[in-house]
Amino acid sequence: MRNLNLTSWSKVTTTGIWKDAKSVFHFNENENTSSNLKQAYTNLNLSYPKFFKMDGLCKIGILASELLFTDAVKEKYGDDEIALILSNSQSSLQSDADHVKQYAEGTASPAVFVYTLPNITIGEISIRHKLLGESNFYIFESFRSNQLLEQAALLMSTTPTKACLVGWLEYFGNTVEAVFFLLEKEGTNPATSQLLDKIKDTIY
Amino acid sequence: MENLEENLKAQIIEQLNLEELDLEDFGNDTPLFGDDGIGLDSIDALELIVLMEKDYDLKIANPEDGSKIFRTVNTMAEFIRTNK
Repeated sequence: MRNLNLTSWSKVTTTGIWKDAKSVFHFNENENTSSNLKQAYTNLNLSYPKFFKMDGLCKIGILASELLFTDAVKEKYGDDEIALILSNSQSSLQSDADHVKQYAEGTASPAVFVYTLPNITIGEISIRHKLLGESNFYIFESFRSNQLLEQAALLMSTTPTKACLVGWLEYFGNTVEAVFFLLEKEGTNPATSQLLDKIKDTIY
Repeated sequence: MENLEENLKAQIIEQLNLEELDLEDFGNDTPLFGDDGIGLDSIDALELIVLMEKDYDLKIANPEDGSKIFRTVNTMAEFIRTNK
């Protein structure tokens, strides 16, 4: 039913950024997460100032997707042929907490409030890469690779979708994790839930 | 309020997280919104309203006035000087 291939993957953790098991950027353990994400932005030559206005969840989503949506990938597909399916367990909890704190102090920031929904990450990635395809954001108790694969297969069989980025991203307190997988029909590396689980659970 | 315009520019950069902009990158008459200026968006406009309230104790009573008040750093400074 599926016939999906994993053609590339990316990962952002508290220690750095990886693409296809190769280190892309190492975080400085003496710096805080915000500084490290800013350094990663510079190192990856993003040139996308809107990045600085985003919350942490969107920042790690942008960094992880940047590695997968290369020019070659984007040229291969139409703007409605790439779907995004993301998931996590804590929703937008960091921005929610930041907003509540500001509100209690008497001056809530609109720039924080707009990130109090996790699917804003999908919007930011779509704007960045000019994507108009299908999208879903799920709140799961834990990573459900099988469900992500099933949903990607469903989109590919019932919509114009020809490629699908699925993934998990979490940003709250000391938890920083984004694991994104690019699934395509063409390829030689069958996407299985075991493979996705292994990549997510491997510490690089 | 001698350095009001410079203070406003610094506050705009900090409050709106415009980390790639320096003070000398835009003038007091540079449009704050639109492609001709520094490209602020609607959320930034809300942040500027908050900035006015928080740092200058000035409320924008009529939202339609915002487009005039927040046109440039000079128009913001003029509004502050007139209403303080």
